[in-house]
Amino acid sequence: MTLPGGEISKRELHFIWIVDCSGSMRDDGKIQSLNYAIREAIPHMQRESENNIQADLLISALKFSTGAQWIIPPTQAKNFKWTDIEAKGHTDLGQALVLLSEVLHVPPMTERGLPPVLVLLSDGQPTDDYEGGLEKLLREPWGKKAIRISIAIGEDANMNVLEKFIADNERSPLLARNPEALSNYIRWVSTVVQSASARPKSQQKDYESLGSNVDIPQPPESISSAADVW
Amino acid sequence: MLTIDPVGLVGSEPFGKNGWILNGASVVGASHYNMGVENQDSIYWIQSNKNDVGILAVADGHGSKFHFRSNIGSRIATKTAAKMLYNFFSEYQVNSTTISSVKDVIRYSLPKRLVKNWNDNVKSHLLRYPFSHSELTKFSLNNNSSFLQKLHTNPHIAYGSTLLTAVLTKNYIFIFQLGDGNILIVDENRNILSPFDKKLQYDGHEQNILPLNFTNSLCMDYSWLEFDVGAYAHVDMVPRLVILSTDGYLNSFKNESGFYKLGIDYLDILDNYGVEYLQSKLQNILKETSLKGSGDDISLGYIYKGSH
Repeated sequence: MTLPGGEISKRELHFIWIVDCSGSMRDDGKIQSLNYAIREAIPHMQRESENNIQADLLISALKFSTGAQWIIPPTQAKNFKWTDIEAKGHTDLGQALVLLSEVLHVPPMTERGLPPVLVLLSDGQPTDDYEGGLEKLLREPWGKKAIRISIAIGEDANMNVLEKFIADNERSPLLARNPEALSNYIRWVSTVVQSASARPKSQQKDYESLGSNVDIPQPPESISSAADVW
Repeated sequence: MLTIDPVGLVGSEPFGKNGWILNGASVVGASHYNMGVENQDSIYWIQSNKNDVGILAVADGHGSKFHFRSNIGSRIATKTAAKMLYNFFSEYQVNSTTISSVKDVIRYSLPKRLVKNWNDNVKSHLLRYPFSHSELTKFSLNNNSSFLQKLHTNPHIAYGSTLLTAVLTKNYIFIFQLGDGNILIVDENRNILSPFDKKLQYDGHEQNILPLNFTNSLCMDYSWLEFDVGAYAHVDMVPRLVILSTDGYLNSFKNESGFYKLGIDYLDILDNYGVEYLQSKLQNILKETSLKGSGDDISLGYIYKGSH
């Protein structure tokens, strides 16, 4: 029997990597660790997305150094492949956030839907007007409602900037001091956060201001040791 | 005689002089099923031949970490609404002469009483079954202090639910809606009316968006003020089918027009194959829709007038 009604489809869940590939990411193998960690997380991300039967995961990636550009357009999880990126140039986070704000507009986004997941990975200090970019991002309704996660790669990252990106008192940036921690955080965000974001729970409207209706579980414990390199 | 039909069973007897039939089904969503979470939706109906009244109610318990007893809250909502509205509309035979005298009662007093009765019944449930240690521990682990304070101030938030109700009388259809969910009415000319669907407005400054699942709720302060209420006289619109559904159904469609198509599709199934046929298929239809679509619990209740 044909199902009554029109075309049935799952809701799109946009998952966007925002990756710092400024010159300082060359230090101590950070960019190689990042490329490796994302590549290694992809099969886990794909498996998790197969379990999330209520959402259609679309993954994209944006890099910033001197300027910013999209490197991977929205791609179905099963077809997603990571392209290794090289590190050179400045840290134009502001430009990346402006680019991001343009795709979080309605359209191309729909008015009803799952909040996108934005994952910012950075090791340093923005060199452009990041505050202007962030303001533009947060002015977009889906920018404001997005699940924003930030991962600091090493102690030199500006935690204040990464906190402002999250703009949520309940959550802090994740600090990766070594490649293993970076891998763990990237795996966590690729799977646990993806899964939680695909299943928003109903919540009364007047609690909207108190937070998202996406229950993000606790991140993995920070791994710190004498072998910390960043 | 008051008859209360169990949910999802075949064979509601027709009631009223027009031979109306009430029926429906509620299924646990595909994602809840996979996680071992029970259905947060509820459906309930009452019909009476003697009084020519039928009441259909569906509700969607919120299911988030703040609303950890919302499956119970939605059950209380549907039963409370059906019984209260049955009593009211059995007592007051609303017709074109009397409608003006009860208009404000229907618009304002009934929603207020619905909310009050729901709160009274939730309070009774809470007295009989206080929050357990494990419920409170889980709530504390999952929520910050501002929510703990809110639960302390208003424990009924644990039971938060939406509520959609349709009342069919000899001369009118009355509909009441608080929160997410949809009501479709198909008339004898196969026109589809979706009374309370709100198009998102662009206010000139900021686009309005709607992240899934933020909704008005019975547990909100002054929630009765948020009720949408509609009344349609049979002389103005002759309905063939009234559908009430929780938002898991709408959210399963690529767009809203796909959802509106349900009105005609279900009418055709009922006209061509009958109620028993639909009831034998309905749970599977809803389960498959949830699996291919939203993954959410789906409830569908309908009031149908046969073509003969």
